[in-house]
Amino acid sequence: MLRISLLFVILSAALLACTGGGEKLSMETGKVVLLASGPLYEGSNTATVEWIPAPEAVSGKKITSARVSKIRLMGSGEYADLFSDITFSLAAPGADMRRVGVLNPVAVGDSIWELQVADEQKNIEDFFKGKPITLVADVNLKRDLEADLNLTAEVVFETENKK
Amino acid sequence: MKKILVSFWFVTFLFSVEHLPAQSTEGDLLVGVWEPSHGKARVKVEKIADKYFGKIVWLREPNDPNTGQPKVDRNNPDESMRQAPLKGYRLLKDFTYSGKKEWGNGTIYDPENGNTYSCVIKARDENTLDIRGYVGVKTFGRTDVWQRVTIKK
Repeated sequence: MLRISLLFVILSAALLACTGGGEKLSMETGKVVLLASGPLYEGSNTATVEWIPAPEAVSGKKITSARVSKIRLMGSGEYADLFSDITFSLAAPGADMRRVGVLNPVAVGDSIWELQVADEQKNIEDFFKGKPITLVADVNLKRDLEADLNLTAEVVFETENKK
Repeated sequence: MKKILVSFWFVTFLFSVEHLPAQSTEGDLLVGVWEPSHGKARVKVEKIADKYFGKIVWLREPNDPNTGQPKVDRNNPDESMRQAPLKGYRLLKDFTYSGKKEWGNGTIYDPENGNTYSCVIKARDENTLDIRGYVGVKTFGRTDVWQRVTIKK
């Protein structure tokens, strides 16, 4: 009985050592502007911006896991009835593109959009390897737009770093 | 002597500037709008972060016959993403140009069953692509022929 208890304690300690060492942090992009150069036509269009995490947030740290916890997009009042749906993805040279958010349908009259964040987010930590991350917003337009499309984004990442 | 040296570096710089984009221009042959053999959709390929991606820009039947609403990605394994619209859906992802009119390291998504396959693309000519989706090894796969919608002459 004592042996089993001892084994249980050792296994618990080992499990804690493996999982409990991470430092959890929140990382925000701040307000960044995604651009699609116009004129744009009805249907699917893509607005992008490159974002580089602040050096102090990533340098000297090994990010072992990451996920997107919040995606908010903002636009001018003239976009209030322009989009039928929005999807949001991340792209980077050293990582596979990941779709991390969607809003479908887009409510008429809004100019701030909170996207539903994907439950499954695989290998988001691959985006934090020192290269710029491209934020990608795919919007289906209900009508043509004779100008550039500017969308302000705020994205929040939750990361776990190895101490 | 100094003038000669400056000229040499200038020529070297010009050569390297001219030489570098040549690769990417050849790879950009993939950019454009393509139609798979079934003709039910059109896919626009664009370049983002130095890789190539293709999204659905046109559907022959854009609405779901059961709901009358625009089709969505109802077979996605991630339930939270099933409301994503099929129009605008990026089904070709992460392709890099590997030379000799071939693009690899990418995936293709089949919205009919929600599966993602490894994929290689080979251009037969400027207006025809062989799109081969496979699981594991290239031998066990299926090739579809896609045609450019606006033919390049």
